Amino acid sequence: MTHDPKKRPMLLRGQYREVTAVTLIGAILVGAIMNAAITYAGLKIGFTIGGSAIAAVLGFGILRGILRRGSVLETNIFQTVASAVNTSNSGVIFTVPVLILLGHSLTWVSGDFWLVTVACVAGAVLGTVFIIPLRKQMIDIERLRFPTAMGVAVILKAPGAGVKRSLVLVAGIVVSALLFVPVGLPQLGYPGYAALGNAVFGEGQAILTDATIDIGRVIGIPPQAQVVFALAPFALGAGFITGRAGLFVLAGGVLAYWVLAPLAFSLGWMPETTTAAGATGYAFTAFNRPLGIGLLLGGAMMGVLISLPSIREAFKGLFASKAGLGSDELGFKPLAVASVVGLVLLFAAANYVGGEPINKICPVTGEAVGLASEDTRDYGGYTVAFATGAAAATWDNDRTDEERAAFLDSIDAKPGLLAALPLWFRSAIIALAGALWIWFAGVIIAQCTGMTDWSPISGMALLTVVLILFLAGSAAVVGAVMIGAALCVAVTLAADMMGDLRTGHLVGGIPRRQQVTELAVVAIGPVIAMFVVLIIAQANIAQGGPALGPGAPNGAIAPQAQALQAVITGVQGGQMPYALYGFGAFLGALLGLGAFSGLGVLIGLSMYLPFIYIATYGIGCVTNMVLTRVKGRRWCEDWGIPFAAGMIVGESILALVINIIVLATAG
Amino acid sequence: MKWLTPLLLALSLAAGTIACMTAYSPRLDAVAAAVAAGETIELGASSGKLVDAGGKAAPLAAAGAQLTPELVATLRAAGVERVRVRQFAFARWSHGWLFAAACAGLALGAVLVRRGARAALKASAGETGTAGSPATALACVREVLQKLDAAMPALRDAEDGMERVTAELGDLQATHLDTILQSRERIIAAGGLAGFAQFMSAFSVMERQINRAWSAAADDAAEEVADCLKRALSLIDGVERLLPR
Repeated sequence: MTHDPKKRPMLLRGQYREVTAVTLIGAILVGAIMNAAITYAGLKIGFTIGGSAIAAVLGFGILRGILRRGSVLETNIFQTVASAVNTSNSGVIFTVPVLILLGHSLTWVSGDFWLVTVACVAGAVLGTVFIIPLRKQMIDIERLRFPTAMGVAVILKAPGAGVKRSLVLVAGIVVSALLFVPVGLPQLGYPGYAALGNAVFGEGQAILTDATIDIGRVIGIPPQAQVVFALAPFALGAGFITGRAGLFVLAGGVLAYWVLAPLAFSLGWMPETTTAAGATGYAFTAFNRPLGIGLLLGGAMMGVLISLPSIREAFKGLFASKAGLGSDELGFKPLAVASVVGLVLLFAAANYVGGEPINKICPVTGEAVGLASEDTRDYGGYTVAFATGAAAATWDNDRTDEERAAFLDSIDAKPGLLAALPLWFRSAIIALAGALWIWFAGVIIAQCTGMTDWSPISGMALLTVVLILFLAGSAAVVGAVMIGAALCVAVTLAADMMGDLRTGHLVGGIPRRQQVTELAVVAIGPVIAMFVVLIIAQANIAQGGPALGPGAPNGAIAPQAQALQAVITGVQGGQMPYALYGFGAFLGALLGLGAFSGLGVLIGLSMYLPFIYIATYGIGCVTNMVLTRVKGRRWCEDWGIPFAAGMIVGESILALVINIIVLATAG
Repeated sequence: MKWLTPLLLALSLAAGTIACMTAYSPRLDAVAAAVAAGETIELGASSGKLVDAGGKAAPLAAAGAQLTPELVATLRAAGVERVRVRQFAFARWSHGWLFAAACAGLALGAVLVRRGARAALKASAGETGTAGSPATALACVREVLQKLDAAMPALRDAEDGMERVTAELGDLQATHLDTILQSRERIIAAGGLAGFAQFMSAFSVMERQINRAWSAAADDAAEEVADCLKRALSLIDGVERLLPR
């Protein structure tokens, strides 16, 4: 039987479509809506949901279902663009609200708002640009799995994978959605799993909450060892796709929560006032978090060192594309130009913030000084403002160094490492150090996401703020948060870019096209997220409440920013356990030296992340291992992975729908 | 004895992290000596049990309090053995020795792992051309691509032609391409990390063309399928050349 070419779908004729205007416009719109909804929800609940899987499903529905067009690769570009526009929200909401919590005002007319926005845009560009040269190393050579990216590829390939596999994917989505409904219902004011727990175990029980199940209580394990699982189908799915390698992640969590915390509690290494139930919380802040972040850093550094041969190969590919030999990759020149643009934006923001006075009261006259005061002096690495020119002259001529230092002390402004340098030079070093740190953090985050699907963004934000406060001084909070926000946006986009490129590889997309489209839209996301934060803050103020944080009228308590605020206060008060970060890094480097280079990263990641999700993720890993043994590897790849991809998608979509309802019905 | 090295690594890591827990929680005796010598030490967390402080329950010493000989004596009298402090000092670290032993264990583990890996690589070196090897798999990839390329004129006009292409390529991805991806250790054994990286770079470009052909076939885009198959075939010689043997 012959086939009439004229009857074939439109996409057959002409060039095989990959990047089209319809796809780009649709994806930007979808990404913007997702960004706004997830930013709002993130400010309330403290975490965000990944956008790639949702974008793939929406792209599939819009391009193929509604517009009756859209090839596999066109849908891939749709999810690349939509997730690029959406993803930056977590970077913004983890960091920017901390400025409001610390008493800075963010308004349409304040310079800080626009500067932080510029820094976030710079971060978005740098994060994307810095990670592109490592595509070959991470995806082609190291073959990192990127579980969600694999799930996205399964969705994109569904039309050609046969009806049975598509049904398995749909089954995964349905099962996941059903499991997740009771987790999401409380956000809409309906009873969830906790009500079910009350019915089964009695009123006031703590075994089944809306989001967790405490198996430890059921089987009688002491509360200082946390055996609690998150009711998170996406974690199950991601764990299944990761498979055996995920066990290392589980091992770190087991060490932190089932060994270290109970041991420290029983040996009396915790304050006498710590209760058994509070032991894991104390252990987290006192040693598990610093050790985990240290292990992660040391492991990542060793990973970079050990991977140098393959990184060299990756860069060779990049330079080859410059010569036109490897046209699949974006060349060196556009990357260099984008890096310079990002750096200049970062420098401009750092320079402006560095020039803002740190004091509101004149150190000589005691009168109030405005931010616009022109009588300023550079002292101790800070800009000090004066009420009048005469007051400034008195500061210059009549005050001793001891008196000036005492003034800085009185406003908790300890000089930073760069205090002796002029402002422009200080800003240049901070911008450069920030950019280098963004590159390294991007590598760490992309590695973590590639190996496990988890990314320690808030840990990286914490380290960034510490680094900048160390360089610029303990009172340079706006600058530190600004660079922290830039870094957070950068690393989320680095991980997103790499995940999208992994999906692209699996469906045969041309990397350069994905890289160019992502770079073209990457600045949109931070702007949307910043505006949403500002609108919510202004609405709260208009209602007479705090802009954000505890007591905010619309419940935007910004939990992650509160955690960062505690860290900033800790740094200013000299409470950071720096030695533990160092010891953790040493252990992480040694681990990476022997086994495989990512081991320190995996163990550190799980010591630092909430164990409830790691525990559920571990169940997914073990399920994969058991099924591989019983049914074989091919069976798991053919049927298990589509189902697991469905589990990721089901929860993500339902969470987005709930977020949109919450956003639409908010006062 | 295969389990001995992982066990050494696991125990060393556990010992190292356990040791770290006391880095900022020294024994009160060590703190007392430092305070007596004039060192400034502040509490990083509250210390002592809850006591009545003006009608409210409060710990004996609050976080942030500077330790003085008097406060140390009070804490000692209350039976406090360790305190959480803000300032770290090697001299006060009671389990520094355990941390050093753990690092030695990890370093020894690293040596054993690397020695074991070298021995395994030596054993598998030269196997890249045997049955189930990457070279054999690569030959099979060429065969399948050539067969599909030759059949394309007929397949593009057949009703289920593109379905057959997706089935063939799907099978190729799950079998021969997967065999090559699972042969990482063998390839590194034969060509080192740099050789492996060069091979994988070239292999991935070809693999992406096969993946693209699959997607195009799923979209019924026969022209693109034909182009991708030709491009993959044109790349396979270079890939074979770079396969370390």
